[in-house]
Amino acid sequence: MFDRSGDRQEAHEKSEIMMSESDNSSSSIAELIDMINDLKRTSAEKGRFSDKIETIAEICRIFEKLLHKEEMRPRLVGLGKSISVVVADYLDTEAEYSSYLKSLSRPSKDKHYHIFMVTLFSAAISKGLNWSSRRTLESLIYAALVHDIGECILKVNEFPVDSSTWTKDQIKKYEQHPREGFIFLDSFGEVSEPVKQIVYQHHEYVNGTGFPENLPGNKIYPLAKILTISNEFSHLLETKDISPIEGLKIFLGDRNSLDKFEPEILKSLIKSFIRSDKKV
Amino acid sequence: MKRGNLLIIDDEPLILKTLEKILSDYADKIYTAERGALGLEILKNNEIHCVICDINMPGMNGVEVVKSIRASGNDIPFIFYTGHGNRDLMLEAVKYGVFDFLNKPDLDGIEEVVSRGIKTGFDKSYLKEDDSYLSDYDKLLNEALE
Repeated sequence: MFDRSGDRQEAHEKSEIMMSESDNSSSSIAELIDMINDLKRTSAEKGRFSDKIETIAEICRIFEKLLHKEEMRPRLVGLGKSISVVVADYLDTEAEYSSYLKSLSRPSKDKHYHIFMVTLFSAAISKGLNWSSRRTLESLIYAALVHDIGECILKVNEFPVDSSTWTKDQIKKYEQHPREGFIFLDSFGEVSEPVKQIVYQHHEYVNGTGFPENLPGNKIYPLAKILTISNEFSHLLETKDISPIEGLKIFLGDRNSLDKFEPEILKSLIKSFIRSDKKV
Repeated sequence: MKRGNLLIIDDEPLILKTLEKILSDYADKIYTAERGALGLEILKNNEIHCVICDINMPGMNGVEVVKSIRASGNDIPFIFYTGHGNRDLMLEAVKYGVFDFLNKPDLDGIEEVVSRGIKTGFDKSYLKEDDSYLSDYDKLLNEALE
């Protein structure tokens, strides 16, 4: 007979770890719900932008962390709708983003920071577009929360950090993440078509070089064009570890890449850094 | 003030009637069609600024309608409304350019979306090329850095 006690011990330890991970996830969900309710309660109160935005940042951070846990995803998709409504309640009433955006230093070292930045920049861009509405803002926030759910499903985080070393198969798999995300979200009746389409098209570029469909600019869903810019801009800040205002200079300095973006929307991103009393 | 004209395509007469009533304040003239082929005919013979269309219809479905419109070189804003369970059709539709999407049965936000669609089709700003954007970026960046 083989002595299996070591295996049993290992299995027991693994199950303890899994239980504690599951406990952590449950308490994180509870924490998330508390924070959403708290934000809901205080949305009518006037307060410092930076205080409330910190709560939104924390909600996004927990959300992003939990997205990597397969069993949590259905719950998060449901919660995403509530979060988008309450965050939109707050961001919609905020008239001025510029001071906050300019005061931000480098992105947090916390790796679960991407969703927050995409949410923040999408809201800021949306604010400056005369065709944007409350419905637009809610769809953008919801899509920002789940835009990379396909990456989590495909476990892209297990690929090497440096994407230039990826194999052809890894690149191919990565380029499937918008479609994977769309298909996952489509299995939930509560996710609206605009949200699913933003997720599906958030890597399409107006010069037709994006993926998964290589759509030209006039075929890309306008809301997806907003998330594309927020996403690219956020990635730039994260990879270069620079502040948004420094990032803006680099982003606009890369002239060869700018034809990937819709001018009206990119202008709106820049304008979000300008104080409203200075805007022409 | 002139707003623009709308075409609604749906195989259900009751939905056509309801939408026509809801949207009457948002367009100068509303045309309706119970079949995709009839919709194409109306579009060919009238000045239309925006199309709203059901994706799932017997005969010519919404994707075939938008495909045919785009093949004729018409980039008119096209709004689809869809219920749950039309995944493949929606994935196909986006290849032809969809201005916006509405969800059945509530059609939440329809007035705002249609009004924006008509305005865009009327202004033709949807396709307007903006050549001046690089110098605009520099000007705006300078203001942002102040």
